[in-house]
Parts: sequence; structure tokens; C-alpha cells
Amino acid sequence: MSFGEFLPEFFSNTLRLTGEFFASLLGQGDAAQATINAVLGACLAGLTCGSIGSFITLRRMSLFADMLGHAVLPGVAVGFILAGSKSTPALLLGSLAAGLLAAALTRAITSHSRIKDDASLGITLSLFYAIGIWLLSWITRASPELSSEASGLNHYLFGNPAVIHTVDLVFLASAAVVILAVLTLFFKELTASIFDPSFTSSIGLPQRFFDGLLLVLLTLVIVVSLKILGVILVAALLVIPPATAYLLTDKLQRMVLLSATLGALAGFGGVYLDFVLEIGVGPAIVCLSFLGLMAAFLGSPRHGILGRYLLHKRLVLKTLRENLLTSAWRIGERGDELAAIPISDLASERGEPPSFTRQLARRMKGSGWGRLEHENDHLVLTASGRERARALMRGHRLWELFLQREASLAPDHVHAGAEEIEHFLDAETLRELEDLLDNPETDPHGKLIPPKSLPGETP
Amino acid sequence: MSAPPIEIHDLTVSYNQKPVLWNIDVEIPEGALVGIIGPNGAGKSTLLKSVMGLLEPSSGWVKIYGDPIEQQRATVGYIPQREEVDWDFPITVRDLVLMGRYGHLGLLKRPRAADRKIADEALEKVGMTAFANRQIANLSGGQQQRIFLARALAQESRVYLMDEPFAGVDATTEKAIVKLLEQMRSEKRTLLVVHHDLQTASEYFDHLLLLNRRLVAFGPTGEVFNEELLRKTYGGHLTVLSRAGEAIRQSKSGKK
Repeated sequence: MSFGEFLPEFFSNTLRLTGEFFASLLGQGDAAQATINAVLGACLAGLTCGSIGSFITLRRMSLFADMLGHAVLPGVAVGFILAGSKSTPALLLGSLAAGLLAAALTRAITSHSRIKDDASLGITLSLFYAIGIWLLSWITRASPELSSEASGLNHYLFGNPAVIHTVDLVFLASAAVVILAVLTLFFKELTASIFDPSFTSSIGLPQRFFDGLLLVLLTLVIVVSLKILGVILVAALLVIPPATAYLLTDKLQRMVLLSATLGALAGFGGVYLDFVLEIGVGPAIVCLSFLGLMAAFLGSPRHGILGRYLLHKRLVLKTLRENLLTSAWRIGERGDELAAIPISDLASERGEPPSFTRQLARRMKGSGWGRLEHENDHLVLTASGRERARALMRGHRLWELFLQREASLAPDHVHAGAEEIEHFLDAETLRELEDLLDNPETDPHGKLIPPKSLPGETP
Repeated sequence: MSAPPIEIHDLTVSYNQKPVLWNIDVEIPEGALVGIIGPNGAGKSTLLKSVMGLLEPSSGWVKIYGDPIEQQRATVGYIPQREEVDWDFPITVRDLVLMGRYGHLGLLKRPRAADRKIADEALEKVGMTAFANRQIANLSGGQQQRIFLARALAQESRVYLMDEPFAGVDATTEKAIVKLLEQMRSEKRTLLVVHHDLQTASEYFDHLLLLNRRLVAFGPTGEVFNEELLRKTYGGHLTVLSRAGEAIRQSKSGKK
């Protein structure tokens, strides 16, 4: 099939499957029920992982969460062997026990040896995962009856929301209720204990209890989410939505709500994508979450690189315009105060091609500082432009004087520093400079320091 | 006579079996503004953490107004070093200061209007009201230290332990902190402050605690701030203690 034929067919297929997906959400029957269960399960898992994940990532336990995800596998196997069937409560209890055991082992290794956290996590993760794989393959080989009963245990390894039953949903929903309730009730204590453990202990809050609480909740959410994402990918929902929310907000409450929402959306989107493209729910959830993260990484107003880039660009442009103002001021103070300054004079003062100067001068209109007149050959400053020029020059020359007097720099060394700082001097610093230098009138080069305000205008 | 705000009796504290504080014996009188000075690694922060009960002593005990610290938590406010926390944490300045009220609130209770008022007043006292709704990142070192102080003020404690409140702050903040300490002393609060600058130590504090693994001296600044005692604190004689400590650690921890 050529690409030209493939594309239209792909789109029509996608459209048809999208229709089927939403129809089955409203539909009845076994197939529809399976889809509904998958969506409910994935959304619940995303919501719960996202909310507790916020605390986990801030506590820097992301890798720990990944370790726990892998470490519950032998618990699934042991639960199955002991119960002799795929009884959901048995598998969940087994996983919970394995998770807590792995956590205890990790801690024991670091506190009783010189081995550090990351290595200790790596050791426990691989050990428990290995035991899990070994037990699963042993179950398949051991006895024919166990083996036939065991088919489907692989769902815990890789995750498969298509086999979410009502009982799984009940466990997921109960875990979600418990976890959200605990997070809400202990919100202030958990926040304090993660932010400042020493202080939290110092006011008598049981720091260890909160550490333990977080660990138990984490294990719980992993255990109930296993069937959706599998042991390997479960950490993704615990880390990526919170990381995304962290880039978007500076308030913990908002971060938790946002992260929970993103998690639920990723869950929904993951099931949909799998329905349409058959790429597996787990991978779809992870990829979608990552796309969200990338969007925040680029577009977050304060912490995204696009926002920071725009801010930087605005600053550069402002600096350029302000430099044009000071050039105009310098020309003005040399001769008669000109109402309109020739672009050619400005260009030679600044040592740049006149075409560049003209372009810059044209942009002065945007800040309301000036405009081009006389066939685009002269710059005319507005009142606010002249005022800004005065303030800039005053700051510049005060700073030069400050550098010379207080930092003992030679007069020919002070210009560059002042050229930079003049754009950033705030009113308070200026006042301090004025006091320190005793309101001087000339700068190190003998130039007049502009007055506090222009004559005829109120200060 | 009533029990002193802080009484430390024969306190020895170890990290990984290695003693870092040896046999500290001291009684801090009510209303004293005490500077703890000593070289790096002298155990200054360890002393504060032990008084707070954050570290388990190997031997000896600490009493606050005659009681173990566990019964006097509300009496003692603690300011950890600024570097101990993550300043990118997503909370606002006001939320951080409100943490000072958590000890009074108890579990599960939310801060009330009265608590918010106390927190806002504390912010006012350190001159950070304008920053109340800002996120704690983007603050200068001096501003971070001030809101840590505000959190402590919101605790309304009678005794305060402060770990290097002057570290890395600007001159304005340093002045503000000194003023605050003096005001707190005039309110008869007892203050223990780890300080690293010998030049200002004699000026800021009315008592000094000279520490280098063991207590070199404690007393009114005029009596203990002299060359002989300072040389004893900072001089080389005490390196023998750290060697002995290392030897004890190795023998106790076996092959580790």
C-alpha cells in the first residue's frame, strides 16, 4: 500500500473506531461493559496516582515508587499460590506485603551499610522483580491445573485494562477514597513533614508516622493500579502528571488537583488511543502523559522555556530601546536641545548603520517614548520618553560615581558596568545611591548628572 | 527556685557511634540571649538538635523548665538552617509562616482566623508583609531567613533555638534580626543562637557558649569572651577529641 492510499484509510479507520469507542461508552452488552470498565479503571488509577504522586515527587521518592512497582510482582505470585486462584483480594494482599517488605529491605541496606540510596533501590528492585518472574514461570510449569488457572497473571506484569472486572473497580474506588481522604485530612501535616522534617519533629508532629503513612498509601495505590499499567509502567502515573503540574503552578493544593486531573485525563486518553490504534493502554498512557509534560515544559507561563524565552526577548528589546533614549540624551546635552534628532546623528553616536537605528526608532512608538518624523529621518521623543531618558542617565551616572568612590574603580573602568545596571535600578536603590553620594551634580567624566525631575514637570 | 529554661546534664551525642559532643553540662538562665560559638564541626547544630530531641543522646539528658522536651514542645521554637529545606517547594510565604501554628493546632485541625492573624503579624515584624502571597522561591537569602524567623515568631514560644540565622544574609536583614532578638529578649524570652562570626558575637549576645566537642565555657559575654578561652575553643588541643571519637567509631562499628 502506498502512503497516498494509507493516509485516507488510516483517517477513516480512526474516525470509525472513535465513533465505536464513544458508542460503547454509552452502549450495553459485554464488549461495551469491558470498555466502560477500562475507562473507569484507568481514570481512577490516574486520579489517585496523580494526587498522591504530587507528595511522592516532592518527597523525592519517584525512584522509590518505581522500585515498589517492580517489587510487588512476587507478592502477586505468592498471593496466587496461597489462594490457589486469581482471587483479587489474595493477590492484592500478597502485593501489599511484598511492597512493604521491599521498602523495609531498601531501608535496612542503607542504614546498616555504606551503600547509598540509589544503589540500594536498584538492588531491591531487581531482586524482587527477579523473584516475581521466577515464581510466575514456576507456576506455569509446576502443575497443569495451576497453570490453566494462572493464565492472566501476565496482566499484572504488563497491565491490561480490557480485563478489569467489577471487583477490580471496587478495590480501585475504595483505595481512591481512602487515599484521597487521608491526603485531605493530613494535608497540612504531610506538607510540613515533606517540606521541613526537622521543624515538623521539633513541634512534636510524628514525622516517622507520616513517612510511614506515605509509604503505605503509595504501596496501596500501586497495588490497585497494577492491572491497568503493569508493574513496569505504574510509576509513570505517579511521576509524570505531578511533574507536569509542578511546572504549571506554585501552590501545592493546585498542584495536587491539577496532577489528579492530568492523571485521569491520561487514563481516559490512554484507553481511547489503545482502542483506536491498539498500542497497549500502558504505553498510550505514558506517551500521552509525556506529551502533556512537554507542553508544560515549553508553554508554562513561568517555568516553561517558551515563557522564559519571551521574557528574555522582551528584556533585550527594552534594553535596546532604552539605549536609544540615552543616546538621544547624550546628543541633546552636547548641543542645543533638539526637538527632532536626525537619525544619522544617532547612528554615528551609536556606531551602527542608520538603517538599524531607524528600525529601532520606529519601535519607540510601541513604548510611547517617541516617533519617527520628517520622512522617517528624525526621532522625536515624547514627554515620557524624555522623562525615561533622564531617569536612565541619572541612574547611569550615579552608578558610575558610586563605582568610582566606593569600589575604587578608575574613571575609564566604570562605564560598562553602569551601561548594564541603568536598566535595572529601582527607586529604593536610587534613593540609597543619592544618600550615599550626597546628591552629586557631576559624574566621574565631569558630565552633568540629570536632576531628579525635568524642569517644569512635577517630580 | 523554679527550673531553668534549659538544663543540659552530662550530654554525649554520637553520629554513627562516633561521639560529636562530649559530656556537656550547662544551665541557661531565663531571659538570656546566648550565642553559641565554636569552629566548624564543633557540634553547634548537634547541640541544638539534641535539645530539641531530634537526636537521641548516647548519655545524659536535657530538661526544659524541669520537664523532658516531649512535654514542653510548645515552649520551644526551633529554626533549622536555611539550607535544610527545598526553596522550590510549591508553597507561599504565608503558608510557610502558618506552619508555626501547627504545633498549637494539633492533628487534623485547620488554621483559624486567629492563627492567620498571628502569622500576618509575624510577617509584619520581619518586614515581609509585601511578600505574603509570593511563592518561597525567588526570595533572597536574607528574605528566606526572615520568613523562617516569622514562622518561629508565630510559634509564640518562650525559648528559641536558632541555627545560624545570620548565615548568608545581607546587612539590612542582619540589622533587622539583631533588633528582633533584642526585642524578644526584652520580652523575657530565652534565646540560643548558633553564630559563626566572632567579630559580632560579643556585640550581639549577653551570654556566650563556647563549644568545641565539649563545653569550653559558658557565661556572661564579658567574662568568657577573652583570648585565652577563645584560643581554647579554636585552638589545636581539641583535635585529640576528634581522633578519639574516630577510634571509638571504628571499634564499635566493627568492619563496616
